[in-house]
Amino acid sequence: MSRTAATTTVLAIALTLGAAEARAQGFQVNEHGSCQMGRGGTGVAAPCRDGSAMFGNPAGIVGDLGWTISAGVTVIDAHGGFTEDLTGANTKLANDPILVPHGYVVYGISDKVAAGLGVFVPYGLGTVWPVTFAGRFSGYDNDLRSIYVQPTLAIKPHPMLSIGAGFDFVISELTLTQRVDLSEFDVPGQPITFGQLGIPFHTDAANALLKGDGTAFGGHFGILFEPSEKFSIGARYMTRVTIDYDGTVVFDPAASLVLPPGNPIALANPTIDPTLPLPLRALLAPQFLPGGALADGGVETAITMPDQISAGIAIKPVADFTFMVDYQWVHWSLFDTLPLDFTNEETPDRVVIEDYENTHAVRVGFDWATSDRLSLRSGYIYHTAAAPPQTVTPLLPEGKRSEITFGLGYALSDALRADVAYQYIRQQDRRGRVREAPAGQPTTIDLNSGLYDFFAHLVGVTLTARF
Amino acid sequence: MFKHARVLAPLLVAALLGACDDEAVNPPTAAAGAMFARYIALGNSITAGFQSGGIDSTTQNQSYAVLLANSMGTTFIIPQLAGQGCPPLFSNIFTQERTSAVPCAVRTDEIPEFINLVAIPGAAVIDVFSNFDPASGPNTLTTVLGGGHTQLQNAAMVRPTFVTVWIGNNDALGAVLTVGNAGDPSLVTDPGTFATRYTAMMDSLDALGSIQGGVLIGVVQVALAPYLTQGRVWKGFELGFDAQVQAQFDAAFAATVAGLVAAGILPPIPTVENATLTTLGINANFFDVDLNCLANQPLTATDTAWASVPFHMGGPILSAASAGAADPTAGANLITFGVDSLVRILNPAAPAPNVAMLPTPTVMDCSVADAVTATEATNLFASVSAFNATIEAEADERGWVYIDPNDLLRQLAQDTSAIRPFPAFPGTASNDATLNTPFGSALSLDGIHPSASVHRSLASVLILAINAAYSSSIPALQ
Repeated sequence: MSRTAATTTVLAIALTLGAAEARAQGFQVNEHGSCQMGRGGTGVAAPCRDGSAMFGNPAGIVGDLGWTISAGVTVIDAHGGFTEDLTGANTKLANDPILVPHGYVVYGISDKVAAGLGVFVPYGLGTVWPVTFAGRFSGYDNDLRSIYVQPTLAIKPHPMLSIGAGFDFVISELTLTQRVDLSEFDVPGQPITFGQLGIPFHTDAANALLKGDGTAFGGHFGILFEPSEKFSIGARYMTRVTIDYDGTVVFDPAASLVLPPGNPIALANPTIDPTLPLPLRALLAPQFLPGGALADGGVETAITMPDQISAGIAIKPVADFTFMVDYQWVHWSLFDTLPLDFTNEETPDRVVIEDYENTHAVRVGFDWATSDRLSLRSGYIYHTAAAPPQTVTPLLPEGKRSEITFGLGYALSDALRADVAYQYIRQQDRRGRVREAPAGQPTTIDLNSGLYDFFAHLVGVTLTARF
Repeated sequence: MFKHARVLAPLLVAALLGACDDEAVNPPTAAAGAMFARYIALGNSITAGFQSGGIDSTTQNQSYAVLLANSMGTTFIIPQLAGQGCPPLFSNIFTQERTSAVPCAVRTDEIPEFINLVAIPGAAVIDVFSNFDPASGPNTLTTVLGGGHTQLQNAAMVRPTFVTVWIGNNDALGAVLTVGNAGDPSLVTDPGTFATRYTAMMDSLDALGSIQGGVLIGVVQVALAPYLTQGRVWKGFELGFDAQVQAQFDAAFAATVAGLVAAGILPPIPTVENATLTTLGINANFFDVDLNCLANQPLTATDTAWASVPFHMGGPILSAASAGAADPTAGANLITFGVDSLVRILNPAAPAPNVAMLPTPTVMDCSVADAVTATEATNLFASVSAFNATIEAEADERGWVYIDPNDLLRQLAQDTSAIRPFPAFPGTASNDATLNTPFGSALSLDGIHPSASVHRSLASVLILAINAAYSSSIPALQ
């Protein structure tokens, strides 16, 4: 490996570790190479030769001799918002453009054996809402990234058959930022909530910043059958991994409401002068001290990155044109709850109900090599939604998606190739909610109070060196 | 190849656009029209649903605003109280018993995201837009019902398309309810200040930018509230009482009084309904209503400012008279003290009573601080009239509907069982009236807040006025 190639690889990994991700089907991310991105994400049966096969189909890395090193980035410019039923007011997502890098190193030991290392992020989300958004109590600045570092080995035991397997070391980080609603808190020593005393629904009491990380191991397997030059079929399976996050929660005062004189809190508390205004921030101050419900502490949670299966076919009606169709199934029903267990016994634990459903995706695409140097690509993707109607929330307001892609690849030299792609994502406008169900009560579509919309422009660039 | 691409590309675009079965925003609707999709009711205790000195979920839902919203067919969320309310209602105004000993049962555990009924009991105009101004008067219900927000803040959350505003009663009513100095002019908002505040409130509503129409309801002439009993009615009560005693000795007495009324020397004296005076236990010689209670100042063709006695003053005096010892001279004294003084003033030639035989009576004196003098009543009338001129002008400026509630109340007052000129004190009327309609069927037990039936009448008046002004078709109440 040359010094340049090694530097490129290290940079790619470093960038990936520092990247934030936009959400996709569930919180799945599928853009891990500009070649595959340009052809509508297809390639299980005809992986791109840029190392991205480690994600697309681990069996696909075998075939080329020598080094293949690629690094790239996908820029996701996400737009969306929430329109309230009641007032028609629209709140826009506040996401900055997101960079999602990827990097692969493959070495073809022979035409029958290849090994590689890939770094990619198949699961992640990033949603940023204005802090004034009504959904801030579910989460307004959230980030999840699950970085897969995947050593991969592929063999070709038969000229028509390739088999690959990868070992996934998953490093995951989770950040949730949300506001704490005072109206849902119990009044100390009384069997009622502050809401019953009149504290309005969605009254900011505190800002909660939860951060946690964890690691896990998984596997990725692929098979590729090429009975002829005109037809191939492939499949892959990536196992589920469950991340146990261990982290911290930091509470900061966020109350701004000042209750007028004569309020029932002051009347019931002999230490408070009922003739004076009562700032909630002052009232709640003791809660932030050790022993209080809003004292900083530890937090634990667990999320399962679901297993996913893809299968596809590739047809070459003519030598320079490949038409591909892929199907993908993702086991999203594993994501049923998001438990938040606080080590501070005074901080009420939470269980966020998700109840996701398994998803299906169909992808079609083509790759047309118009010359020895230039390839043109396009594709179309359709995803079903993972979130059921009752759990479309600010944390992840996803829905069915239709996506269209365009791309091209150009050989800058015999050893260096550039691929670029554009993808437009249009998500189904989807009804959702900005509030959680009261404790102990089921989440229902009755909580839905508006419409989430989402679309995104994606641009990907990948440089690939082969030598 | 390009031939295939030319076919494929349109297919892809069509698939992209067509594959997403979009869901939609579900904006609020109102059967009576889009103007009423987001209706907000601002106001004070009446609008909030306060009755009989308290408020609970039943009375909240009897508010004219709720009835109006129901007819509009629009979503209308109220800050629903739990249990017996906050405070519980009087079950007997004379004993001051309430339906529960719990002073405030707070809210139910279902906390809505917004409320349409933003009215707060006790609110004056300034309270609509400020809880912290030195002139503001927030109370427990400002937080329990309004969440500590002002009415304007709560309204802004809903971006109302239609509003009703009935505010201003408490800019005058405080002077009526104040114990110790009822009628105190300093407790009545200066009309100029009222106008400034009312205009500021309306400008703030305008600034919401969403309101398509509204109704402004004027201030009630609080000097006519049944909580206040005109001094002349007290005099009539005394005369009626005296007449019963006097009739035993002088059958001509009633005719004498009637003659004085017919001659215009006495004002018309309302009849005390179903008076069963003997059950009161009041001895005529123990009770006297001073002639200063007949003081009055003519105002308009329909209104006269009378010296008046607030319930909190008259009740105890009557109670004290009732508790008096039996008159040892009963049967011997031919002319009772009260009637004697009246008759002698009106007819100096009448024979003097045997003063030495008279007991010391309990006296109703309408010149004391706790009575509303005719001058103070005149001030109340004038102030409320000025308030209403401001409110009507604000409505006219916006092309909104203006409703004068006094028209409805005057109409109701024609029926003395609807608005009693004299409260049904125990012993002066049937037990049923005393317990359930002490101030008349139009009033709740506190003599200030209208009963459910009047809320219905008002809602009907509003429906007719709104339909006329906005060519809408809000159906009549069911």
